[in-house]
This record gives sequence, structure tokens and C-alpha cells, in this order.
Amino acid sequence: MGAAYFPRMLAVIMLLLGAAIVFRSFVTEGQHQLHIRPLPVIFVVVGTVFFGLAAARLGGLLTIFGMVVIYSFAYPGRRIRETLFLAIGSAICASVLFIEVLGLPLPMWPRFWGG
Amino acid sequence: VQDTFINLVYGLSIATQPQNLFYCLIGVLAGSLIGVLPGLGPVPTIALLLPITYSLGPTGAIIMLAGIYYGAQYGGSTTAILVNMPGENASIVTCIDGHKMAMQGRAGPALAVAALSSLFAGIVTTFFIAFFAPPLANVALLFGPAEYFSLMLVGLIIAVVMSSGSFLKAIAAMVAGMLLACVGTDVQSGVPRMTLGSLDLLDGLDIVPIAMGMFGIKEILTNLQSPGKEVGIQGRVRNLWPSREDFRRSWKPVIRASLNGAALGLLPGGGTTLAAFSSYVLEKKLSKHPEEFGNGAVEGVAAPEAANNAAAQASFIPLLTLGIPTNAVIAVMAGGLMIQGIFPGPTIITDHPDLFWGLIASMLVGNLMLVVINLPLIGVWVQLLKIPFRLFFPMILILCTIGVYSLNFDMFNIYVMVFFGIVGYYFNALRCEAVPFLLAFLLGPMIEENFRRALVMSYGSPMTFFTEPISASLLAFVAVMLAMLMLPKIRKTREVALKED
Repeated sequence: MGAAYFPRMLAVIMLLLGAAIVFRSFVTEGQHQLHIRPLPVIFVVVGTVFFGLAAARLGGLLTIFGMVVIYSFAYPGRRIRETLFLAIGSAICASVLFIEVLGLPLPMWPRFWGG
Repeated sequence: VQDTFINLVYGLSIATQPQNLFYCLIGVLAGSLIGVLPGLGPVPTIALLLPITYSLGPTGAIIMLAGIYYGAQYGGSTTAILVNMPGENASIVTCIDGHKMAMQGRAGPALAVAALSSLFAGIVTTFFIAFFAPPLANVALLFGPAEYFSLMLVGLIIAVVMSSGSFLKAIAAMVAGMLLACVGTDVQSGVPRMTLGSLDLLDGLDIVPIAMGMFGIKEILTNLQSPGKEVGIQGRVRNLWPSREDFRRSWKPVIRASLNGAALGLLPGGGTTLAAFSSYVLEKKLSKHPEEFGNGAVEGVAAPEAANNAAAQASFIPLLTLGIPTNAVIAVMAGGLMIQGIFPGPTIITDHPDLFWGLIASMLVGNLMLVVINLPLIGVWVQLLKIPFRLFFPMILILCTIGVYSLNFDMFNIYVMVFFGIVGYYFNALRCEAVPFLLAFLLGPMIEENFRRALVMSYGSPMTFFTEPISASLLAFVAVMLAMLMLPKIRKTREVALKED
């Protein structure tokens, strides 16, 4: 019995279950409408991935500022001043707390700034 | 019985050590805070604080994390009563009568009744764990790999039964969880499995980013779908102390709800929401004035609040005795203990008595702290609730992102979290339960290990699962459960009973 035994067994069960669910969807009455607004999902994903890509180069302050700006698009309505205040505030608070106090191994300032 | 008290006193001596008191205080404060704030549940919070707890040692860590969990049940009622919004899922029921009481100018008594019911339930459940857990662990010590495999299947199948929505999807979610747990290097042969050639996947997936995504990020994504609901706070909190009439009406429901909650907390997937809901329904049935329920009946606050607190604490029993987590919060905590090198299971009571009894005793201490700190803090919570969601969710997302990164300073975990955030969001949209998925993911490696060990011991014959009597009866139980899920009539009842979840 090798390493593939257990996962393969699960995969077969999964296939059967998937087939059963698809089959049931054809015989069940009524519809289940999917209500999904894609924009919030996209901006939340982009903002979070942005941290992963940028933090090591842009540094904590700029990255978190950027995150908040991107996230603000996930909520309807533009409040530019509010967003800027929130972004600057979060950038400073989070950077100081996590990088200075808790010692996260990330730069504070962008790399190309002589760091 | 005497032993239990001696052990409890021993536990108290550990829980009242200054640093453990401090961790407990931090835990219940953090728990109350996230309980009050809608949108940030205990799963992401505990996941966030995990990295910080590495340096505390296992006892301090679990005391703090447990405090977050039952503290959240506590804080949730504040939001439910004042804002008519569940700060925590388990407080959905408290909204009904709690908020009505607030509108009648009785917000203070409602908050106090919620606090005192939780305290009472917390104390009852502490003793429940102290008496119930050690004998259960002794039984589990006799289990071999075949029994363990079957027992974990039972745990998962109960989680499936308790989940709402289509049971086929719940089982599929469970199998998917186990499959994902296989990703990474196979422990026994060293062969990489399903890593798609990626180095990041060689160590397998971590439970924390998955839990954060499926519970934390999902919650935000779901809230963002229907924005614009601003929080309106009802009623000024003036007189806190409940009337003698309130006490007279509440004490029996609180006792019943504590026991009900403690029992439901034991079941995988059962947990706090179901406990609160069923206790509410029970009290409504037993009451001489059922028409008052929904119009500010004090029992309607006391019973669910007692039940959810009892369930939160009782859900530690299966973890500490059988090694089976019953809900997402406990699953993340189990992950945290494993990082500390402690594998939850029946040996924990004898191998780490300081952890076990310290944790139990800390629940007594923590519940007392909650009453003392929370009633004066109500004003602060009210102020916090006025922060609109649009300002609030970016901060939660930043916390989650940095928290996941700080697990092992690896950006990969952030992408895992985002991915499972989307998965969780679609699970939610497609009415597929995330709890069986997460439990199966955590139990997956243990299920596989016991499965393979049992087969090795029986020279490859799968009959061993059916010839060992304990294992056979557990598997029979699984079979009966599966059969019952397929019966149309029972399926209907289950759908009705779990709809409010």
C-alpha cells in the first residue's frame, strides 16, 4: 500500500459524489439563483495579493496605504478624503505596530529609497 | 469525585499564576471585542493571535485562545441586544428578545441577564468537563488504529448531519477536506503528493490560512455583497440590575440551557449556534407565556446565552479526550497545540495535567473576569459599534493578511488565504457547509495514518475495521447515520431544524 492509496480512494469517492450532485441538480425542482457581485470580491483579492507582491519591495507604509486604497473600491461610493485619511492612518499604525514593535521582517520604507 | 476537586484546585493554582491570569485576561478581552464587532469572528482572531502564542508555552497559549472563544460568545450578546445584529453567529437568537427588551428601555437588565446566565453556564460546564473528560479519555486510551479511524469517521459524519444544506454537498466538502490534507510530502514514504511540482506545497497546506480564508475573508466578502446597512443603536443603558422577577423567571431556563448547551457542544458541528437556537425553542415550548417570546421575554435572552457559552466550553471535551475537534475554532486551536508539539488526544490529561487542569480552571477565572470587565465596558463597545463597516473591513483585511504572513513569514500563505476566501465565499453562495471541510482537513492526516496502521497490523485486510467490536459498532453508527440522511422524511426534519443556522 503506497502513498497514493488513500488519496486515490478519496478521489474516487469524490468523483462519485460529484456525479451524484450533478445528477440531483437535473432532477430537483426549482432554481437556486446565485447572487454574486463580482467587484467586491475582485478588489479584496487584488488588495490582499498586492501585499504579497509588494510588501518586500515597497515597504510596509506604502503597501498598506495601497491596500486600503484598493479595498475602498470594494465598497460602493467614493469618499476620497475619508479613504486617504484611513489609508494614511492604517499605514502608519499597522507598520509601526507590526514592523517596529512586533519585528516583522519587512522594510518600513521602499527599497529604492536608499534602503 | 475527591480526585476531581483536588485536580481542580491544582488547576486553579496554575490558572491563577500571574502570567496565566494575564493571558486569560487578554484572551477574554480580545474575545469580547471581536464578539461585539460583527464581521470578525473567533476563527480569524484565534488564527491571528496564534503566532503570538508560540512564545507563551502551550498552557498559556491555550488559556488565552480558549478565553477568546468563550469571550466571543459573551461579547456577541452585547451587539445582539443593543443593535439587533448578531456580533457573533451564536447570538442570532439573542437578537429576538434581547433587542425587544432594549427597545422597551430594559437594555441594562438584558445585558446583565445575558452576562449572569453566561457566567452560570460557564461554571456548570467547567465542572461538567472536570467530571466527564477524564473517564472519556480512559476509554479512548484503549483504542487502537482501527478504532481511531472509525471514531474519526463518526466525528465527521456527525458534523455532516449537523450541517445545514444538502448532505451530499456536506459529504463532498468533507472528502475534499481530506483530499487537500493529503497535499505535501507523505510522512511514511517521503513521496511528494499533489504538489504540482511546487516547492511551497511540499510541506502541505497549513490550517490557519485556510481557516482564515474560509471564515474570515468569506465573512467580509459576504458582508460586502449587501453594503449600506448602517448600525443603529437602540436604547440607552441606564439601570443594569435585573429585577427580582427577571431572576425568578430565568433561573430554571438557565439551568436547562446550560445542560443542553454542554451536551450539544460535545457533538462535532453542533456547537454554539445550534445550542442557542434549540434552547430558545425549548424554553418557548415550556413557558407558560409563550406569546411573550419575541416581545422581550427575559428567558429568551437568558437561555440562548447560557447555552452558547456552555457549548463553547464543552466543545473542548472531544478535543482533549478523543483528539477530535468539533468546530472550526477548536480545529484552529488544535493546529496551534500541534505546532507547540502537543498532540491533542486521550493522553493529554496524564501527560500534560498542568495544561488540562489549568485550562479548565482558567475557564472559571475567565468567566468571572468577563462579568467584571464587560459590564463597565459597555460604553466602550457602544462607541466601537458606531464605526461603519466601510472603515472597518479594510482594517480586518490588513490584520488577516499580516497575521497570516507572520505565521512563518511566507507570502505563500497569503495567497492560500485569498484562494480559500473565494472558496469559502462560493461554498456559502452554493449553500455548502465549510465546517465539515475544515474538520476533515484537520483530521485527514490522522485518519490516513490510523487507516494505514490498521491495515499494516491486519496484514492488509480491510476486514479489521469490521471484526474489531468497537470499530465495527462505530462504523455501524456511521452507516445508520448515512442511511438516515437519505430517508426523505428525516431529511426534511433536519432541514427545518437546522434552517436557522
